[in-house]
Amino acid sequence: MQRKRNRLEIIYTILGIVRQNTNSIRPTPLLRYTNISSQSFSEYYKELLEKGFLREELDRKQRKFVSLTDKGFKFLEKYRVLKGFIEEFEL
Amino acid sequence: MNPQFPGPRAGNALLGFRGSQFFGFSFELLLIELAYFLIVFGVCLIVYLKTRELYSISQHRGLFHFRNIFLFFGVAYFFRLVQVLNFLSQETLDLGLGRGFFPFVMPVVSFFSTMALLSLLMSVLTRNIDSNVKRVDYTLYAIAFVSSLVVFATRSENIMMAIQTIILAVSVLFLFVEPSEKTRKRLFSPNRVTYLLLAVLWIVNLLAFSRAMLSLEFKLLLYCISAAVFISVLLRVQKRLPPNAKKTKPS
Repeated sequence: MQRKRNRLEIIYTILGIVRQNTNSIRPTPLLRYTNISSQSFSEYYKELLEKGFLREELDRKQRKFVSLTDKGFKFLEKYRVLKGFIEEFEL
Repeated sequence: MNPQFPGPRAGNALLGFRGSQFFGFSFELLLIELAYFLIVFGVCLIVYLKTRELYSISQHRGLFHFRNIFLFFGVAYFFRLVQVLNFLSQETLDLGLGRGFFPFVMPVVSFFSTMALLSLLMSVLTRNIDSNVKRVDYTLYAIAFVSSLVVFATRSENIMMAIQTIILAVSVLFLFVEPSEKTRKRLFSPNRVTYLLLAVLWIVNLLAFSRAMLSLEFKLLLYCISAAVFISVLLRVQKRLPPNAKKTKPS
């Protein structure tokens, strides 16, 4: 059985999916690819928007798209360092 | 004379003097205290600054408490030095900021050191607590504030030690009664031992505020162990956050 992902891994997954999709994806497919419950997803999504990792944009047809901010890209870059640090100090 | 309050010659006792000593001896002690402070404060500052970026990109609550340990210990050790220098100046230079100064520094030391001890506890427990609750932070500040008020009201370094020992005991108890089997297995991990040492060494360090309980040799040993623990944390941080960490490739 696959191990349950922790909070940090879920955030990494969400941001990684956005980056993989040329930094522009609609919230619904993002939810699908992330593979968590819609309730959890909306909590993470809201938090990532509030903390400035993601931003919402509207296209010409007024459809909502999500993309990474600079902070989001930086998080992906530093993820390994961060994970190693958190494991080292059991945070 | 108030038995809780250091007497006119208390500085000697506080700094490990035995009877009347010459200026040279106290200068030696001054150097030891300064060197010890510089090591601890330097380590705290480096750890705090080095983890700044990691915290700003992750907003991780465990990291928040981890950084706070070093922020608050750094400030607490600074005010501890202020107090020790105050005692020393009374004895050797007769500057005599003296008794009036003592009641104001002690609560400050108490507040910051209590916050550091609580941050130690929180950094261990953070995985099990809904960390988005701001109430947790306010509770920590409230506990530290109340303890410093008590120290101010009683003007007793022994009360401060007692409060902090209770916090330490409760922290250890918290870890033992934690229901998670996984967490219990990690109880004596090197990390938790380090945290425990930081807390215990700080509390033993508070003996510097009490009377003539520590010999110079014991003090030197204590400072060496304490500095070594801080440096070991710094080395582990350096290992995880090397200067070229920016070049880390995204996975």
